[in-house]
Amino acid sequence: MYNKIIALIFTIGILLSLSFKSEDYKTCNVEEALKACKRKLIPFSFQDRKTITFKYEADKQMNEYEVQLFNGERYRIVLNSTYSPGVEFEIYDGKKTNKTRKLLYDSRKDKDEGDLLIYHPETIPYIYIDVIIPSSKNQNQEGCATIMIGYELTFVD
Amino acid sequence: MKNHISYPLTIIVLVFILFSCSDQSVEKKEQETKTEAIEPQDEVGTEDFYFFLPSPIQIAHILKRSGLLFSAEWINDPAKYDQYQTRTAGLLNLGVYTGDLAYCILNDRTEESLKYINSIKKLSDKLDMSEIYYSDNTMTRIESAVNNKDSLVNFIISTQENLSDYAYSSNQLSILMITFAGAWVETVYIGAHADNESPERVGETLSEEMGILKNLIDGLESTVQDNPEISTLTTQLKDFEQKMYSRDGENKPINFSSDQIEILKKEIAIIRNNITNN
Repeated sequence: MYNKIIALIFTIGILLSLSFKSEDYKTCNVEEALKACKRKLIPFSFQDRKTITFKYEADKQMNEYEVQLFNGERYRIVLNSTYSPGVEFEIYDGKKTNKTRKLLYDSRKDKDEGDLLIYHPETIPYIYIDVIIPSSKNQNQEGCATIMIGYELTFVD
Repeated sequence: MKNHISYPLTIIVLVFILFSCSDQSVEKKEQETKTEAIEPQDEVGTEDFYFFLPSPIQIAHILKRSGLLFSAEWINDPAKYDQYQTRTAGLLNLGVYTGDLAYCILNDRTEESLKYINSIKKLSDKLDMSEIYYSDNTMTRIESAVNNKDSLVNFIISTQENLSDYAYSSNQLSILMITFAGAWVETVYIGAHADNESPERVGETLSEEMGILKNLIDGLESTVQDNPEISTLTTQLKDFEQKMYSRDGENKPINFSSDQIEILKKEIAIIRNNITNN
């Protein structure tokens, strides 16, 4: 009887550890996510940032952000999905309502680069960053994705 | 004994198989939904606005690069910081002073720059926001490097970042939008009025700056409610946007004609003077 209880506890432990490992969720740490973005932004200077906090749902979700880029300036965009496993970033030259818009960047192609990605936009005057949150069986699991934009200081020595 | 070992092992194997299959089915579902159109109602709920703001020094730099010359005639008096009595007027003019400071820095006006830094310090004290503008001994670093353009530029960049951190962490995005509104109005006002060594480029540059206006209005409306001063400002900005439509069919900046620039000068002066004379 005693051995059976031990075996059952052991089994439940394995079950729990497997369930956590299968999705690799981490508790959102916005401060750390922003610090990581900032480190990756260098040598570009901080312009603005967004943190998208969300709960995974049965359906796929999406947010779109507009960025105005000025002619002749150089920019760096840092995309951080450390605390949002499965989230993908797509960058377009038009809004989601524009059926003929062109895909400029897809984070799926940088899968091997890890959770902290860099993109240098060249299209002006607007680009649109789509943050795509996948459907998940772990509904109500929270996640946060962070985007930071910087520009090159061309006017100081 | 044999049963005691095989029981958990069997369950482990079953659980492993179950999770493997489950992951595959989720992966398959994601691949299937990848090509589906995502409807607007799928947006994640947030009180945030859906665009990125430019930096005040960046928008000033766009004008400077187009040939804008320095003239003290078009900047707000740094001594007026004490006359702004409401919080909204204070925040708007904090932005105005940031725009003026960027203009002075980019034109190597160190003495004027320090006056604006001082006014920003006093105004931010009044608004109980001094920790944003004077964290990490910023003032000491500025004062010890008065002739260093890098330090002055870094002041604007770091305060923009501090302001952003403060606004997001305290859920007061209105602060970010109102100060940006002041900086944008001031920069466009200066850009339209100050002399330019390449006057033929003014129309296109101002049109490029006008591309921010729609988002500025949306941002103010989504973050500020029940504020008569901001309601008046957004009404003026909407009217301004209608009169100065600055985009072609492909959403690219058009080149304003000299007549359009004259209208812009008049309209932006009304908006700007309402802010600075408040």
